[in-house]
Amino acid sequence: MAAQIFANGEQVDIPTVLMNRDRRVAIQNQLLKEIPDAAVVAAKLNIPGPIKNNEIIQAFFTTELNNFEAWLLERGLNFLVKVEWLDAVTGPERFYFVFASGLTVKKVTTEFEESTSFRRLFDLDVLVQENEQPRSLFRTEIDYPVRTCLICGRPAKECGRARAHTVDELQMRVAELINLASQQAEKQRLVNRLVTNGLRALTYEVVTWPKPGLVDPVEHAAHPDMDSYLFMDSSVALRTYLEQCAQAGINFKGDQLELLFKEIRRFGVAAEQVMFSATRGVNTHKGAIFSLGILTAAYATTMAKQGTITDEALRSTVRQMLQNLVKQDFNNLKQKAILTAGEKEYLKYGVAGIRGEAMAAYPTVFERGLSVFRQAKGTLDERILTTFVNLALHTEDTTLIKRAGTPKILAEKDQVFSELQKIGVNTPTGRKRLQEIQADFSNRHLSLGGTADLLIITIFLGLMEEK
Amino acid sequence: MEIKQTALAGTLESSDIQITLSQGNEGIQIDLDSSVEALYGPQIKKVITDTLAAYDIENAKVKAVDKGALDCVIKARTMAAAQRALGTVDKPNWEVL
Repeated sequence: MAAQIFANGEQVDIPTVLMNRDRRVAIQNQLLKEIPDAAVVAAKLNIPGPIKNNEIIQAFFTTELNNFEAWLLERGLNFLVKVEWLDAVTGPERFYFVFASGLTVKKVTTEFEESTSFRRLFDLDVLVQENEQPRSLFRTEIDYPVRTCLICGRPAKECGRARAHTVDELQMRVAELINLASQQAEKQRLVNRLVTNGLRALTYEVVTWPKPGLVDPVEHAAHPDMDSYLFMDSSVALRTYLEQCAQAGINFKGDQLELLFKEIRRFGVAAEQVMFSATRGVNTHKGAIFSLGILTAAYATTMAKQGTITDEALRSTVRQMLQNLVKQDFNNLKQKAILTAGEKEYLKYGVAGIRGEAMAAYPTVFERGLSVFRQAKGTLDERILTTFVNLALHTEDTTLIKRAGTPKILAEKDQVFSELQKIGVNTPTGRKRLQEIQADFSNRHLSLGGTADLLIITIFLGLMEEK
Repeated sequence: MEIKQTALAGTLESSDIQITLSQGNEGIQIDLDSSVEALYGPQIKKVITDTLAAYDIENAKVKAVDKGALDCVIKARTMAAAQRALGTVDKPNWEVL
């Protein structure tokens, strides 16, 4: 049975392969003369059998060479791509100048070839100009063993010469390795999407105007120590944290999801320090760090395990991650010397705030935020504002209680926002009313910080649904 | 057939063989350099000798640097070298393959 990967593609014969080899040597020699100080790396794949190129093989080649290029830069090696033959029937090839000694380059390329099972399919030949002659470096020169067979681990040349394995057998193995690579590339794409959309959500929230009690580019009198630039600084500083949460979620094994939460909470503590250093001590995103981290990790692990996302699956993951949160967090509060705002609220009024919302798997976000964001019409700005008003209406905002000094403020907030919702925030009257409310909140130094965090994760989840 | 000029075919790429043919007068003398010589030396030499015989070449010095080539590659590279050495590049004798 032939592997699916080899279902398409042109079959090549021996003379074509040999002609291509001659062509390769010619280009290599030409490149070595062009920049004699640089090493030339000829990148190609070892694909046994008559089909050596097709869409899947080419995608594998280019994706992994992107990783190879990052690999070179991380190790301090600069490079230049000179020629590439991505469509060649004899297999995709790309030629690099790498600006370092041949041995250094050979070491780095060999380490790349050996770094994962599927990168063994790469043949990264390193050539240098020596005494005006081209020379290809051997693995033995950097104390590496010779290449081994894909199937049995004996020296590759021996098995190749003996035709020890059938083409079918070799193709099955190659297909297995390329599938593995594409799964990993898929995971990396998911991490990138999660990080990008997390950063987009953080910044989209700030630029949306007018938001009563919050910072936007026009008005921030409710928060005189902050402005929208500070929020941008804080947002971009969280990239590493979001990446850690996404990776931790994707890699998480087993079903004790509360361990995943413990793991990312450590990243969160470090991220708070990163935030404070980016903002010179101002708390811009503490709540967002908590919630966005949880949802990023939850999304990643749900997707990795189930291959698809539904609200219920995502919320079930969150619930399991946080099953003991309020109990653990609030248990020993009375002995604690320094309390956070949320902890004080809990002791004073029994409002569980963001922890309660999180433990219930963000009902306000899913039922009051995301559902509205999905259905809202108009520009992104209009959709975010509509969502914001609905979230503000339905959130027990502990930041608001703290600023007002009494939970009675919630009733007033509910009245203001339910009236606004009836008018419709995207009508001229609605916009005008929203600005009046913003002015009023600014004057009274009232904040909707808790709502902002929920808006960020709503936008994040909405962006994750983009095709 | 007599060899008219020294000729080379093939590369030092992995899975290839580089064949250099030059004039000789003591039959086919093969100088083989191969990492799998212990296992496949006689077989590689046989493929080269048989291919040269198909061109009626009875005397030649052959320098062969093998990088793990398969028999079909050895044959094709030897053919190309033979045609160049005989000055018959324009009329490749693919039937020999």
